[in-house]
Amino acid sequence: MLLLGIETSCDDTATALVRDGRHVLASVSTDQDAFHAKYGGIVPEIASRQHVALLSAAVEDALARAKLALEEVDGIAVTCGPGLIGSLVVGVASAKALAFALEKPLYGVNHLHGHIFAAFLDRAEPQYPFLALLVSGGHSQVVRVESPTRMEILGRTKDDAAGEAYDKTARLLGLPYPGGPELDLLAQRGDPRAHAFPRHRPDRGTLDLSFSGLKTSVRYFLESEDGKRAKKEDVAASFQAAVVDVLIARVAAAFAQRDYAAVVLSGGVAANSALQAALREWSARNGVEALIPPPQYCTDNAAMIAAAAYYQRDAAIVDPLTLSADPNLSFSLSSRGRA
Amino acid sequence: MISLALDGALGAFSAALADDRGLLAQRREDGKRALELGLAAVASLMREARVGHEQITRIAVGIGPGGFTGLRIAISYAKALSLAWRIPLVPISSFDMLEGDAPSDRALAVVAGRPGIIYARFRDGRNETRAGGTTAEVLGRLALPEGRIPVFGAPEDALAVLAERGIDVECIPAPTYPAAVAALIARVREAPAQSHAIRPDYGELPAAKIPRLS
Repeated sequence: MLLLGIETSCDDTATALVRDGRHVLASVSTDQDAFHAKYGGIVPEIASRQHVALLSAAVEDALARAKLALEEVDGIAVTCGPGLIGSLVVGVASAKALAFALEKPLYGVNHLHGHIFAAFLDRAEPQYPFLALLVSGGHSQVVRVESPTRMEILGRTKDDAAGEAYDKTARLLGLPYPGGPELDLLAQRGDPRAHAFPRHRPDRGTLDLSFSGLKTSVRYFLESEDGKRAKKEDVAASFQAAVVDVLIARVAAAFAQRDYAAVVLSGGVAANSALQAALREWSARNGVEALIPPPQYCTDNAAMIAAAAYYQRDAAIVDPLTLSADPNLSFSLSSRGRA
Repeated sequence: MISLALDGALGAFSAALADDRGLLAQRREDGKRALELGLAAVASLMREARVGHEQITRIAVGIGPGGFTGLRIAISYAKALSLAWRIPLVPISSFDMLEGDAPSDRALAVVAGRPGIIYARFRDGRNETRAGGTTAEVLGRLALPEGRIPVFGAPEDALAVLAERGIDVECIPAPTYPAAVAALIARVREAPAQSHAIRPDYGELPAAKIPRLS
């Protein structure tokens, strides 16, 4: 089954052709960083305009790379939420028109589910149940995945997402946008024990996360006399160590509650070198398989959307041409009236 | 030749089919529901006119200026249909749709943007001037000549400013089915070589909000 994936939930205009949910024949992603950099963050109106300008060419580019014709596609998968509404509508409108024109099924996909299925790309399907640690600029969640259509959030951030904390701290350190990868690079030259920033502890029995206090702590430190003398690389490394400690602690707590076949790391922050190293080290120590997608599938991409549509297709998740975009789409499959 | 036209910039979402003899069918949906209902409108339009996609030789799309969301939805639909059916895509300005398929020599076409903002084009023979901004600014910049001027589209606040300035106008309201006009115009317009290159005319730069630390 060959699916065309379309992802425009934020600022990446992405298309992909994926066979049987795993084999990526082409994956195209046109990031818009250059357009947003001068504002220090994503400007939704600019993101939406770029999607209109780039998406049809990105579809054609994916087809050319895979040496396929549009008629060979068996269905169209598209992110229908959550995300920026102005960005989502461009992808959804385009996908619906392609499905209508080609008379192929349309699959609306939850962006967050897509990130979890990124771990399936170019490898064997993992055993169930597995634990997913989904960390990105907009989301931070600990998810139990029982099957492709049965997932439960065990913990989520109460304020900033991990990636958001990275970007905001990077700005405090004067790093260019996008700050997360820059902070990761800087931290590699610093001492993670130089400064003791706070680690959020969840309420008893929950796996919730919080990064707002950490970011504020870094801010106050940088404004202090000690902070003004501190080496930026040490601040970055110490901040990163705190984030990683919190995330690994939640994974450990989830495994303490019950057994899982594997742990999947996904979302843009999954590309972070310290987090990957820490999760691999924890997994090896505890005899758990760690699945971490390659960098191109950690960030927003359309291959993961096609993968999610493929694995969820048996749950009769075929959408009508009246499919809309929902910027606040719930993680729950049933939120859109589905099985 | 059969042309299929879509527009989402001028308030509502509209779709129409036309052939060499004239209009075949037209549809209109609430602009706020363009994403949900737009394609169903296209499908019913084609059924009603008994036109299959293999008979369509040209797709036309309104490229604005006008409402940003409707504009993006219509252009996204049109680009995807053009790609899937391999049919040339013709961009049509909102100003052209307001003026109709048989424009006069002199015309002021006015599109309402977000509250208090208009986009306008004044044509006098071969000379053409465009402006966007507040109503008073735009009508000031266009330097309208003396004599009666046909005003197409004509939002109320624009007419009020024109009346204040003593300009003699003839009001022609916006068409109920802007896509119908686009379908007729498209019959005699060349399509660009690459439909990907078609860009919306937003009429103004984006209002960028600088993200702040919280």
